[in-house]
Amino acid sequence: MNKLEVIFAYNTLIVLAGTMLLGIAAGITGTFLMLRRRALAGDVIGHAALPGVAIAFLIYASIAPEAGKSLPVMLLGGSVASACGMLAALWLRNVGRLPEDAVMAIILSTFFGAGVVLLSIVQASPTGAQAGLRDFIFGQAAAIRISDVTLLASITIGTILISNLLIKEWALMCFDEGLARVLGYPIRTLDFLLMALVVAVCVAGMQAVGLLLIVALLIIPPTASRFWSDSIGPNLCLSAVFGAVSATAGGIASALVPKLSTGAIIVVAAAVVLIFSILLGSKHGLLLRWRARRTMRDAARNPPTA
Amino acid sequence: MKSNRSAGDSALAAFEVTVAYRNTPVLTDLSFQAPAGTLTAIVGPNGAGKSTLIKTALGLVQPLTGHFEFFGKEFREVDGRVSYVPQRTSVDWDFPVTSLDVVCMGLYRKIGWFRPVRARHRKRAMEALAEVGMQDFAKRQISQLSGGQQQRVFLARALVQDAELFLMDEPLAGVDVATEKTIISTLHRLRDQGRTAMVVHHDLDTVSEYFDRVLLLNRKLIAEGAVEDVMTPDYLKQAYSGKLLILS
Repeated sequence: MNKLEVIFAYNTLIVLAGTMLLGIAAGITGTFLMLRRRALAGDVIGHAALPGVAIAFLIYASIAPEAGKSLPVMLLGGSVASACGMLAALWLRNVGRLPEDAVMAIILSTFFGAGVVLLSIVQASPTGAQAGLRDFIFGQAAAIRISDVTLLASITIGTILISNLLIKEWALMCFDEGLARVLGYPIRTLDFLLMALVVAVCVAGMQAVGLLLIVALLIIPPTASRFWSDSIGPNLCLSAVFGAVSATAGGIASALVPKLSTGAIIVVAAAVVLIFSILLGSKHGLLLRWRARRTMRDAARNPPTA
Repeated sequence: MKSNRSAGDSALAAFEVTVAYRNTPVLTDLSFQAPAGTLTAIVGPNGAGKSTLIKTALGLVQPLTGHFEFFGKEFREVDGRVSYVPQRTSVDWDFPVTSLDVVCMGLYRKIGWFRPVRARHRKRAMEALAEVGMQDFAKRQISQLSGGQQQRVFLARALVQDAELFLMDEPLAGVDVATEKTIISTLHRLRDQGRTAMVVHHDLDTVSEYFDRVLLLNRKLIAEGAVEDVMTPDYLKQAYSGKLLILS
C-alpha cells in the first residue's frame, strides 16, 4: 500500500475520527479550564488516573481471568482515581494550608509513582504482560477501535452541549466567582461539572494520547486561540479546531509509522500550532505587534508637516 | 450596643458578628444598622476588616458567630435586591470579554439558566454603560481600559442589577478624578431614589463631602452614625491608634 492508501484505509479512518473527536472535546474543555486558571488540574487528573487503571485491571483479572482487559472497566478505574486525586488536592490545600502549586506537584507525583508500582505488579503477571497497559502512559492511537470512537463521539457531543448550555454561567464563575456566589449560583456544582468533563476527556484520551501528555491537548489549543481572538465564543471554536488539527496530525503520523508514540506527535503538532499563533495571531501575534511598533516609530521619526 | 430590636427599616444590619481567619480574629462583636436611603462610608486602617465585613455580609466568608439581615430578612430571601462591587484587583482583566459582556453578567440571574444573552439585555447594558459615561468603550476588551474605566464598568454591572442595596469594596481606589466624580454622582442619584450604599473608602478628606454616614472600624466597631458625629479626632485616634498624621 502506498501512503495515501494507508491514510484512507478503514482502520486509519477510525483512528483519525477518534483523535479528531478527542481534540475537539479537549479544546473546548481546556478553554474553560484555562479561564478557571486550573491548567495544572488537567495534569493532576491525567497522572492520577494511572493507579486507577492498574487497580481496575487487577480486580477485573481476578474476577474474570479469561476475559483479558476491558477498556470500559479500566477507564472507570482511571476516572475514580482521577477524582480521588482532585479531592486529595483540595483536601491538602484546605486542611494542610499548603500552596496550590506544591499541592498539585505532590499529588501528581505521588499518584503517578503509585501507578508505576502497580503497573510493574501487573507486568509481572502472565495476563498483564500482553495487556499493553504501557500504552496508557504514552498513548497508542493505532489501538483505537470503532467502539472507542463511539465513546469519544458521545463525550465530544456531550462537551459541546454542556458548554453551550453553561457558557455564561461558567464564564461568570471563571471571571468573578464572588459575583457568581452573590447572585446565588451553585459554584460547587458548576465547578464539579467542569472538573467531571476534564476527567472524562483525560480518561477518554488516555488510550490515544496517553495520560502523561493529555494535559497538553487541554492547554495548548486554548492558549493558541487567545492570540487570535479576545472573546470566549471564537476562543472556544478556534481551540476546538486547533485541538482537532493537532490530534489528527498525530493520528496520521501514527498510521504511517506504526511504532511512533502518538501522544508525543500530537503534542509536538499542537506546539507547532501554538508557535504559528504566537507569530501570526491576528489579535496578539508578534508580527502584528512588530508592525504596529514600526508604524509608530516611523510616525515618531517623521512628524507630519502640516 | 444592644441590637435585639427589629431591623425592618434598615437596609443592612449586623448582629454581634465575629469573624476570624484561621486563628486570627478579624472582626469582633460587630453590630450596626444602615438605614435605607443612606450612603455609608466604611472607614478604617488597613487590615481593619472593611472588606471582610462586606464579604461576610454577602456570605462569601462565614462568620464564627452572629448574623446579618438585609431589609429584615436573610440574604437568601432578598434575591436580587443586593448588588456587590468587588475590589477591582480581585478579577483577571485579561479575561476574554468586552465591557459590554461584563455589564451583561449583572443580568445573568434575570436572563436565567441556559438562556443566551439577547439584544434587549445588551440594550439594557448599553444604557448602564452610558449612565457611567462608558458607552464608547462597550466593545473594548477589558484589559484595554484604564483603572478608572474598569471601575466604571463594574459600577454599570451593579446598576443593571437594579438592586436596592449596593455593597462596594473600594470603588474609588486608584481611579482618575472623572471616574471619582461619576461614581459619587451615581451614588447620590441612587440615594435620592431611596436606595442604599455601603462603600469601603480610604480618603478621610472626602468622607464628609461624599457620604451621609460613617462606620468606623478597627477589628471592631469604633463608632457609627452621622459623618459629623463619627469623624471626630477622638474616634479617629482610636481607630488609627495614633498612626494618623494629617487631618485637616
